[in-house]
Amino acid sequence: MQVPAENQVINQFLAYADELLQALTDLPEIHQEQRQLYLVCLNSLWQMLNNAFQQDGGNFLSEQQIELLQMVDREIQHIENDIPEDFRNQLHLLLRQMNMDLVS
Amino acid sequence: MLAHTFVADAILNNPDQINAQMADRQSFGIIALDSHAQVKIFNAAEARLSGLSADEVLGRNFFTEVAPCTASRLFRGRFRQGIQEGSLDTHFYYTFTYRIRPISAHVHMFFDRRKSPLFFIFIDRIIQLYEDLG
Repeated sequence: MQVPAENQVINQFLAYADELLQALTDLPEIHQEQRQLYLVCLNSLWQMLNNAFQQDGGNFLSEQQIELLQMVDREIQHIENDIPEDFRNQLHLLLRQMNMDLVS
Repeated sequence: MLAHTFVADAILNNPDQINAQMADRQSFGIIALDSHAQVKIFNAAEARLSGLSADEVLGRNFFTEVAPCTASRLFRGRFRQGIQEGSLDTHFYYTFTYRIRPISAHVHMFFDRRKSPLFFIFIDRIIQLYEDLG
């Protein structure tokens, strides 16, 4: 079965971001900031994907779309383990209050 | 194509009569929000199916504190549209995936400011055919 283009793009994005983080690990003074920024990116990515997949509510998400959202969510949870809870909560609140038109 | 709504006309025609006791008698989820999205009613069926108790969610913001995966263009967008326009009667399909086992649901949103200040979300969960029930 052919992998949907959107899945390929997301996989490439995650691989690229991961490689970027690895490449910058020699800069420990900004390591925490990198993780926080990566968390922001991943949360935004999840929101954009969810908006795109749910569309106008005419259909349920496909199994592939669900797997993709869960994959991003797992990565978010993985990163969250390294992020202070206070920052995490502030970030979640900020993203959920943002205008949804900006992440669609 | 969307199925017909699962909410009885008697309920939709009389939203002012929906209270916690009446909502608890229904077999599907009923969540009532005020115009700021604070949860005012969270019925027994919704508590059982979501795993959240009414005490945990009453008074909290539905989109930011109770069900973050509904803070989307479709779900919260329709809520905002209804609040702005003063009325809304729409239903759609939604798949919940955030931090939970995926759940697909038929969602009916209803709001008529002339009859009730509450914005109602009725939720009927549906089992996907491809789901492994083993």
